[in-house]
Amino acid sequence: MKFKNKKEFGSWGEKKAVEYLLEREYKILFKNYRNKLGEIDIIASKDRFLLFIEVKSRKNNSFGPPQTAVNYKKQMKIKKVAKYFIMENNYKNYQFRFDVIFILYSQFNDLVNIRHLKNSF
Amino acid sequence: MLAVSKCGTLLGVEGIIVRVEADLSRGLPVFDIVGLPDTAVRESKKRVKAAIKNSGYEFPLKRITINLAPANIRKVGPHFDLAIASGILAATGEIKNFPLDNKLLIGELSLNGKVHEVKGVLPMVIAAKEAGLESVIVPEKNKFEAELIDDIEVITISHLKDLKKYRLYVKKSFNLKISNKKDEKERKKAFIPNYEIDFIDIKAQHEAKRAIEIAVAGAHNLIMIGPPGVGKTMLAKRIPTIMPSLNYDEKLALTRIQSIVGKIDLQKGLQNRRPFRTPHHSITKASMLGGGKIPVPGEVSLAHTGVLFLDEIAEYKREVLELLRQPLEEKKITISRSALKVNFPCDFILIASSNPCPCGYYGDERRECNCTVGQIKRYRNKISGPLMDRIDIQIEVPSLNADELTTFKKGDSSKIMKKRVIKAYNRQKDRYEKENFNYNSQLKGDKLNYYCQLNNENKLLLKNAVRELGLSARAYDRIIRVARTISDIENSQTITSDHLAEAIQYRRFENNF
Repeated sequence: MKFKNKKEFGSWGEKKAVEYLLEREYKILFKNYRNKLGEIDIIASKDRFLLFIEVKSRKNNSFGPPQTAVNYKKQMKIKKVAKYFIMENNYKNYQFRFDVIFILYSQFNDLVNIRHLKNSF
Repeated sequence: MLAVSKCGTLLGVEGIIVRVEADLSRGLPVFDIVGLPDTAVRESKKRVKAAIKNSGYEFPLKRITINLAPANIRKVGPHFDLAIASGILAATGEIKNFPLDNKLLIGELSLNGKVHEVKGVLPMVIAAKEAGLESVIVPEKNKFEAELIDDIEVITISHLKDLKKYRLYVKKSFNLKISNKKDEKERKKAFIPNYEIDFIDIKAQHEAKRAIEIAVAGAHNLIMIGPPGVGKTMLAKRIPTIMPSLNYDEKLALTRIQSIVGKIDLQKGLQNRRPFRTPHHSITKASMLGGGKIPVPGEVSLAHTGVLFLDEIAEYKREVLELLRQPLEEKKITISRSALKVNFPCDFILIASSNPCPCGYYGDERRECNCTVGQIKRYRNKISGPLMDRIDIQIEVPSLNADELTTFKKGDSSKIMKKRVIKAYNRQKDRYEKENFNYNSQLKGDKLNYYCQLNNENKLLLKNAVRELGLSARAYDRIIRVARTISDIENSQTITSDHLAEAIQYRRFENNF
């Protein structure tokens, strides 16, 4: 697969993540939820869990492993947005979880590797 | 995945074994250290990470939690690096063939994986032995220090990658106490301290030398008062040359302290020289007694088993001098901080010197003193009564006139003086075998009356002296104590009137320093 630019690759990755979640019977509530504090890639739910999911897509590891890309600052940002979301939508009887999904795409053999880190921060 | 390695930390002069637990779990990669780590320990994260990467291992992309147990003691120092790194490597399975239990790991890592030497190895090795650990792994430069302790295997490590190879330099530590006779002889030879100075260098001043001999023999404190340039400092510097050699326990105690402050001469092994500390008179309270958020030993502890020499004692801050009163009595110092309480030993002989007045020439035959009465009074008030009271022997070191300087009699050499001192030491040791003290200077109350019985004639002599000289009750005890030491030097069972008379004249400045 060819991508025009980084943005296109990023949204392709998010699409892959949504497919992955739907296969596993997650309910997708929002894609690219935005409020004044920032953005969350995917908000989903399953079994009284509300999930805030950050998607990281990578074609290679030249900028380091994708795990290190979701640093403390990013985590704090996601948490803030999530808090605002919870308040706004009055999700009271839920447990909240922050997940990260890594999409590793290899251009050589057109393989997609998805890793889902549950409850990661 | 959990792995446990062991490291040590210091609490005063005591080492404490710390369990370093490394847990790896799934999740975003974070590296946390818990269990009261100090700044240097927290920074160890960065060193460990780089060292692992640069030693050919893989640093796990996992949630790493390091716990330092017991969690209520503050962990200080960079020596946790090695234990943390090997804990992580064991948890990832990189060093499977290297069992971590029963080993104490000490060492600071550099970013390229080299293991550097650290302070305070000796107390930690002692703690490891007491905890029943089999071996200690130390940086190469700390090898000698670690090998001072018997019955524990000492393994040195120079690079983190050696853990994987496990081709370490392994050697049983040598035993200090038992070994074949030839070795023992050579070791003993190496252990006799060499001093470049000798009491024979000092012209005349025989009275002062005699007083010093008595002070050393009975571990009495001493003050020398005299004009500038008469050799007070010279005399004091030679005191360690007549002190008996240290025994194993004393050496160990001394080496422990020096290990903590990092002063240890690593090649020489146990410290065999009695310390001679000459703090400058600008010294602060904290550096005299020891202190800091994590207490480190001060001058009084660094002088443990040796001499603390306060040159120009009147120049010191008064509050610093007053602080000496308690350590002089207790022979140990307790430093309390909000987080912890720490004991340091400080069994030293206090040697002080002073001029008789600010200009230095009061009472001198050669020169006129030009100080006012007020000045002199103020100068002398610097040394408080209670402190002066703790100084058993007070002597005058007079200036020498031209005749004495040119035609002086050669005095005894340090070697001869030391022989007499050792004899007196041994007499005291035998006498106080059943007591918990060793020296005449520690005689108190009942013990003093028991060990220093005076006959009626001597009692009368002392009574007269007290009346004529206006001595205090405490001075009375001090005189008897010093007399006891004099009789030990003279190899006499009982205290005679000669001994007593000599002791009385060492209270020369009781009321009129």
